[in-house]
Order: sequence, then structure tokens, then C-alpha cells
Amino acid sequence: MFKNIRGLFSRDLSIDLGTANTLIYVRDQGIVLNEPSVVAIRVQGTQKSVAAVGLDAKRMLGRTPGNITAIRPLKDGVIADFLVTEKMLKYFISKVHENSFIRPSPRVLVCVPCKSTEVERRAIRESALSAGARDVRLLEEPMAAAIGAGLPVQEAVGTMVVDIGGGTTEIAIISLNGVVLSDTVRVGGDRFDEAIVAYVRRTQGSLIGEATAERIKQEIGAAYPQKEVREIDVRGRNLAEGIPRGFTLNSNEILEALQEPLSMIVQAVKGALEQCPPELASDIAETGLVLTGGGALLRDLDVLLAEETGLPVIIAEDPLTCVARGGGKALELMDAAGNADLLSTE
Amino acid sequence: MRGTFRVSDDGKLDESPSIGPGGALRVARERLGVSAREVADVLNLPIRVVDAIEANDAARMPAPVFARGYIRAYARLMEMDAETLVAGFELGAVAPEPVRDAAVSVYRHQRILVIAAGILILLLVIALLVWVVMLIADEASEASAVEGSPAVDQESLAPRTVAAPAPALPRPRIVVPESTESRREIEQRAGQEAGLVQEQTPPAAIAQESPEFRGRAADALPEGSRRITADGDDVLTMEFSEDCWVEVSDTQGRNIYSDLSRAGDQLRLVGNAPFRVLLGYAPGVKLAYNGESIPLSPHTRNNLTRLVLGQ
Repeated sequence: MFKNIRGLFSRDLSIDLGTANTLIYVRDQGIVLNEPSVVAIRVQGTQKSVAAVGLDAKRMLGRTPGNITAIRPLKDGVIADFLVTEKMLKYFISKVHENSFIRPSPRVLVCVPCKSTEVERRAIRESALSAGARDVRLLEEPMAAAIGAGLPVQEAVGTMVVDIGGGTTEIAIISLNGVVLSDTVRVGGDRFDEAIVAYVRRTQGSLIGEATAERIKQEIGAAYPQKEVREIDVRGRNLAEGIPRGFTLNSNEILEALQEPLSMIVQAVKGALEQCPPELASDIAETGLVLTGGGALLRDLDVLLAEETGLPVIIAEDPLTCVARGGGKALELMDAAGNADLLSTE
Repeated sequence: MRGTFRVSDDGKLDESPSIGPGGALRVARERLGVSAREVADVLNLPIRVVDAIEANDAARMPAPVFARGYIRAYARLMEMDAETLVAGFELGAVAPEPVRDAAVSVYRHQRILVIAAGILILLLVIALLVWVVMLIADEASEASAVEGSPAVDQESLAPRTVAAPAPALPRPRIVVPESTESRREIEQRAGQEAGLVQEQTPPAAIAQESPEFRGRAADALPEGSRRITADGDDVLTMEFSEDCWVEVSDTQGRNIYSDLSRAGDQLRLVGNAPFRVLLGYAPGVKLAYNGESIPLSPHTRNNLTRLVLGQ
């Protein structure tokens, strides 16, 4: 009952609980929080406490002293550390309601990967409830992404969404407010970073951190050969000498580094198209597929997919926030239709 | 169409009479010597979509989200500014929602809280007022009950005391007194007694002075005594050091005496026991029954005494 009273002072939230970033969309307000899904844990004896969450914690990644550990509580789109996820969610929910003098108890919609198991979904639900939510609804990420991208999901027309997140890539064909076909590959932005780290280690004999790899990807990373070759100066620890060394990488090298994860995404898209019912395949051939998620920002990824599939490929507007925005719109659609289970998976 | 476009020599877009964003794309394509079919093949689009874009015909294009993507891809192919061209098309789509700061909503959220708190305070004030009014009303009714109770009892007592003992009155004993005095003397004495009693008796007791009592009362009551039943010689004596409400009723609960006695009064009631006695303020009373002092404390609670005498 108290949760219901507190709910009067809370706002409905849509949470994109991503491996890399957590985004929160508030009804009628838009995206109000976009922070890395990172928590810094301080260990004192046997006691553990949260030292920092989000952006502050991400700055600590790889730079922490012995008693602080910066961890990512989500891995491959699902919860890897239940308690830390709960702490992180509680922090984010209270941050969104920081002007409220009553502890918030909002209604929450959380986006989950298509192929997440019942156990994983239950973990996400329990985590959100423990973080203070009074009602938790789950929505599959590609559906949220499609709604957020503005696709006509309610029509009897097939549309294809490829949501490239931090930990997973979700591929779904949607028609009539439902997912007709979906697939998840555990390849995403993190895998791109790992590929760059491995490539640098192999070719330069140097070790770089995840944060450096991400910066390289954002600045010169590309999925398709570029007319103009770009370069970046990087510093890492030379494995042979054991001391920091600087070196230069160019966009063609990074393209080569990313070949493996990119080909996995291409294969997954092709696999989904192969399984697609003929009528929907015809619709998709007409309209093409839509890229969402942070991975869609990789330069010329749409060109690569267009060349590989022979379909028009478009990048959604503001692809990073599509899932969170779509979740928020789904909440509004559910309320407008008076049917809480309209889009929810549970 | 919103905005007009022209491709300048350096490949940039300039304002110009009405070729529209689609026209600008077509001019750029023609300058590069590329056919619409080739553009359609490179972008994996049907030729009619390329034609629709070049003709600025939003009606022939698919859903806005796709149309914007196609225009962006076409613009990028022509190495033109995609966002300017997309903005030039009226696609009827809502622009993506900007990312807002949580602080933007603070004012509205706080306003709701202020309104809710205001309503709550208003309700509390109303409840407080109602409580105070009820409290005052209760006190007033209690005060009127204390002041008015003798009068009320007096009214209710008069018919009861007159009517109730009347059937049981032993008329023959009054008519034929046992004393040796003549009837006339007795009547004269009774008349004197009655006059004396009437002077001292409060209004409540006047009702008891029925003709039937008068004869019996005239028998042998000492001065200051009051007969409360038709017969009997049991005597209740009370001395008051404080004001005190007194009620005496018979065993059947009928009220046979009730009045407010003042400090300094002495009351002597004669009648047929048993009596049910109620004293409103016990500390201000000394009670004796047939000359024997009665301790009140065992029968007193909150200064109110209830006891039965003569059982």
C-alpha cells in the first residue's frame, strides 16, 4: 500500500538496462538519464559499499586502487551481478527523482534481450522491484527499438530492426505489435573493443585498456573501407619492454580488427532474412532494415549491411536512445489502449 | 515544401528559386553524370523511390522513418549535407524528442506536491474547526443539563410523585387518626405545617405537598423534615458543606425526591425504606440513616455516591 502512495509522487520510467549504458526515459519528459552501467565497489574488510555509480565509476575503470573495484554488473545484455545491479538501479531511480522528498516507487518498464531466459528475466524483474519499483513490466528490446525509431509496428507490414547494443545484437522482424522472428548474437560494442585490444596486442605488441579501445573505435573505427584514411595516436604498455609506448593506428587497421565481429552480425542478419516468411520478406525488401543502438554509430555499418544483404539500410535517428524512448512510448500506448499487456512480454 | 535549394559550383546548397531538396539531389546527380537507375541500384532502392525523392513527392514515399533514411543515404552518396535536405522535405513526421534534463520537470512536479500539501492542510484546518465547534456545543449542552436538570426533574417528578403514591395511600389512616386530638385541631396543625413547609420547600418539593400527604405529614414530622413516601418512619439526614445534587428513589426506581442542596443546608427526609440515594458531590455531604452515620467512601466513585439504605 505504501508503494502505491509513494507511487503518486513517482513518475513512470522506461529503462534501457544495457550492458554499456543505462538510459532512463520519463513519460512526457524524454531521456533524463544516460550513464554507463558501471559501479565502483569499495571493499573494507568483509564489508562492501558502493563508491560510485555511472559516469564517475566509469572513469575509475582500470584505474582503481586495490580496495576499489569498478565492475559492469551486466554482461551480454543480462544481469551478471544481481546485488550490484540492484544498487545501480536504485541509484539511477533516485537520481531521476532527486527532487522528490518521498522515496520514489515508480512503475517501470525494462527492456530485455529477446533471447534472455526466464531466469534472466526474473532476475531483472526482482532487481527492479528491490530497487523500489512498484510494478515492473518487461519489453523485448527490438520491439522497443522499433517503436523508438518510429517504425509502423502496429501495421500488418513486416519491418526489420537490428539493434546493436553494448553486449548483444538483437535482430527482429516485427509486424502487428508483435515479434515475428528474432535472433540475438552476443556481439556488440564491447566485442568491437575487445577485437581492437586483441588486434593491437597482436600487431603492435602493446596492451591497451578498454577505454582506449573504445576511443579508437569512436574516432577512426569503420565497417567499410573509407576514401580517406584517418589516424590516431595511442599509448599502451609494450609487452616486450614492459614500459608505455606510443604508436599510431589508422582506420584501415581498425577495419581489419573489426572484421570478425562485423561478419558475425552480417551472418546473423542474413540468417534472420533466410528464416523470414515470404510476405514479410517482400515488405522488408521494399522498405529495408533499420539500425538502432550505439553500434549503429560505427561508421558505414549501414553501407556494409546494404552491400551484404542487397537491402536498403537506414540508421534510426538518435539510435542510442531508441530503446529507452520506445519503452516510454510503449508505456503510453499501453495506457492509451487500457491494456497493460499490449506490448509487454509478461 | 519548406526551403528551396540550388547546388552551387562548389557543391554546396544555396537558396534559390524552387527546385526543392529533391531537385538539388537531381542536379547533383546529373552533374556527376549518374543515372537515377544507378543511384537506385547503389542504394538498393526501387527506382520509383528515387524518382519520388527527386520530385519532392512525399506522398509516394514510404513511412517517414524510411523516407528520411533514404534521403540521407542519397545525400551522402552525392556528398551533400543530409540534414539540410531531410529538413527540406515535409514528411509529416515528428522530429525526435530532444533529450531533456530531469531538472526541467522539477517545477511541475513540485507544483503538484504543493497543491497536494495545500489540500491536505485545508482538510486539516476544516477538521480542526469542526472539532472545536463540536467541543463547544458539547460543553454548552452539559452546562444546560446541569442547570436544567432540577427543573426537568421537577416537571417529571410532579405528576409521578402525585400519581404514583396516590393509589397506595392509606386513606383510612389519614381519615381516622389514632391520636386523641380532635379532627379540627389536627387539620389546623396540618395547615400550619403545610404553610411552614411551603415557605422552606424548594419548587421541586412543592409537588409532593398533595392533600394526601398533608394529612400524613401533619402527623408527627419535626421541623425541617420532609416526608417523601406516604408512610414509614425511616429518616435520612444530610448535612451539606458543598453544593450537591440529591436524588432519592424507591426500590422500583421511581424518583421520590430530587433537588440541588446548597452548602450549609440540612435535609431531613422521612419515608418508608429502602431508599436508593444518589449524591452528586459526596465530599460535600454527611449522611445519616435513622441517626446512624453512613460512610460514603465505599459507595463513591468520582465523587458520585450511589447506595441503597434500609434493605
